[in-house]
Amino acid sequence: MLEIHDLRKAYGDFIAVQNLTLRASGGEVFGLLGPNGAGKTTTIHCIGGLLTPTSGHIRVNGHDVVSEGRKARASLGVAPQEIALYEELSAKENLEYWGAAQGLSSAELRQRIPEVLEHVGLLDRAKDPVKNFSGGMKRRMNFACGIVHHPKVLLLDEPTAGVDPQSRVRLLDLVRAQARAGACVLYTTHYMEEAESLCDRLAIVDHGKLIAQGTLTELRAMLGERDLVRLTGVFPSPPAPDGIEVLQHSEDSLTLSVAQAAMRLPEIFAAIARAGGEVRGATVTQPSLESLFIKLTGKELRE
Amino acid sequence: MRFLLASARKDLLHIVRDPAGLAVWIGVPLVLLALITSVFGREKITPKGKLLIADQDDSLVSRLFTSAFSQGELAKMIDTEKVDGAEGRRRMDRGDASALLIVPKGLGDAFLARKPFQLQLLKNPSQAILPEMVEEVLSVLTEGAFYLQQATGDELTLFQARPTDAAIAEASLRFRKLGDAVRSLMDPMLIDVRTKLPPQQPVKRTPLGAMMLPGMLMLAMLFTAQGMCAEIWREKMNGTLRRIAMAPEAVSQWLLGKVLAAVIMLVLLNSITLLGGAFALNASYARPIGTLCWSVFSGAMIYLAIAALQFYSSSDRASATFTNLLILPLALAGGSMAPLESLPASIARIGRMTPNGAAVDQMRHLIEGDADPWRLLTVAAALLALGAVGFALSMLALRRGFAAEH
Ligand SMILES: Nc1ncnc2c1ncn2[C@@H]1O[C@H](COP(=O)(O)OP(=O)(O)O)[C@@H](O)[C@H]1O
Ligand SMILES: [Mg+2]
Repeated sequence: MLEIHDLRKAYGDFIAVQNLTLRASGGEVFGLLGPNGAGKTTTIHCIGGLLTPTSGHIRVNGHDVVSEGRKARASLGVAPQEIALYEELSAKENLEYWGAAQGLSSAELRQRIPEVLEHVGLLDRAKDPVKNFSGGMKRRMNFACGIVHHPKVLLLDEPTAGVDPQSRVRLLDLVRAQARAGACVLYTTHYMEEAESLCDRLAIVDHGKLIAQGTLTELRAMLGERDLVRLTGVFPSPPAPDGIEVLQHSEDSLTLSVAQAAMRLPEIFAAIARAGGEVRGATVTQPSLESLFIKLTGKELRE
Repeated sequence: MRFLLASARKDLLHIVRDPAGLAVWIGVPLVLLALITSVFGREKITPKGKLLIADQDDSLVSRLFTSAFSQGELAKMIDTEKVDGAEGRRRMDRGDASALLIVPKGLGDAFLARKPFQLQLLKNPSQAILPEMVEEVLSVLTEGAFYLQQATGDELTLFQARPTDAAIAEASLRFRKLGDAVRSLMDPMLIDVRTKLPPQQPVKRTPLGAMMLPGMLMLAMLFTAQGMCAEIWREKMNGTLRRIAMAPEAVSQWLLGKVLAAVIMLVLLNSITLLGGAFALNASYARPIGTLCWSVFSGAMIYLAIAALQFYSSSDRASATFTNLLILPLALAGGSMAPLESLPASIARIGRMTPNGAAVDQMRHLIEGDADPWRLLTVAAALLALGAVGFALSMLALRRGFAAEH
């Protein structure tokens, strides 16, 4: 339902997205995971027809977003990264406006608006101006305006940015409900846990490049059964005992990929001491998307 | 079309929901109106005029005659002041008074001898009402005097000794009452009032404050257009414009919705301003609907031009600064700070070529009812072209990704 083939978007000399290919179908949540500046929003804007790709093709529900822009956009629902709402207008008025932008008739809107408000839990606040809403409520409203017209393809750009944990759980449930109802959801985030709990399939991007893609299980397998060991202290040179992979090394931090790390910590500490280093802190993490990201890029996802 | 209407509704709701903002919208023309009123006067509401009297006769009869202006109801509306003839003319030339009444030597004698006589009244051409009033009172007085002359002229000669002030006052009151009672019977009259207008000055019936009105209205429209155009960058910054660009309905409808909202605001604000002008500045409109339509049309076209500027500015700050820098000189040259007539000829010539100045000029003609249809059509076509170019440039910027740019 959503096909991206070899997408590339450059702003002058700067390449924001390159060689991105992915395919997502109805009923699934496809995650686009990457740190700030990875090119997630740029990708969403290319799908939405807001930006013209430098090269490559995007099809939404079978329609090319450049040559059949209007048809492609008709199947699309978007919840932008920012709260793109009219704050002085009430929840109902916002839905009326964004519904009209999707070409819905007044009759359709009359029937649909209470449904959507009920769905996102804002029915009792229908007449309140959005500016009086809490951050979490605004996020739900931002989401509601993206689904008012039952889109086949839903683009959610960091829909949980800046909300409290409770609202986040609620929003994630709303996203799952969309996929269950048959929508194809493209979900961008820089939160690993969200991607892990929500997404059927994932693409991990960094600096505009696709670095891994697959189901959660496939991605985990790329790590092997290895734990992530993160050390702080003084490290003049990286130690390399057998079977230990150095993912990242600097004067004061060291990240290692180790099978059965807990059993091998004494051996690692000893090796560091021999090399003239000193360990001040250590954390061991089970295999996760986070460790995969660090393994693939040598840096933390959230910096 | 539905999305266009929804967009206009959204913009209007946005304005109405912000009471402070709305107050500013309505306040700008009202403040400008009050400013002009305080500077140029509101002749109609407090019509206290000044009547200069040059009594060269200085007889009992002439004193009786002229004292009628400083009594009763008339005294509330007219201040009289005795002057000599030369000074009176000088002050009339400066426009200091509503009228100058000259009573030449020999009135008393002529009156008592029942001979015809002439008074002279000089009226201030820039004032509409007070000089008329003085003239009206004078005609009543002369009629009364004629009657008195016929009926009691002999007895009047007895008064040639010094009468008391009270006696004069009483007699002049009788003059008026008598005059009122018999004015319909009077014909012919022996005392004739000759009204004189200074010959070198053309008759201008528009009060000065009302002359400022079109320019002031344009200034208010420029402010309104600028304020409403600021929404373009606001929508770009808060992401609503991006969201619209990703929706199937055309972004052109979003822009046209803004134009429609501007038109509705202009209809409202301009009606208030024009009505306010009629009350506060004593402006009268030869073509009230035509004036309103013209003001709204020209305002909408200028809105489109200012909107295009926003799309080609590099930031919201830059767009605001740029617009201000452009609007102020345009307003100055285009007759919004002072009427085009009062500007140096070279600036006025440039001013008439600015879109706002040309629109103001035609608005003046519509108000005074002497618009040249061809000239009006030419200016309308030029403004329409300006609006169309503005719209086309705005759409071009939107197509080129204005919404998405950083
Ligand atoms: N209009 C633009 N012009 C130039 N650079 C841009 C523009 N939009 C985004 N970028 C750059 O492209 C990169 C990707 O941005 P973005 O897609 O917003 O990333 P993400 O959403 O993953 O955080 C960033 O480095 C950003 O600064
Ligand atoms: Mg982003």
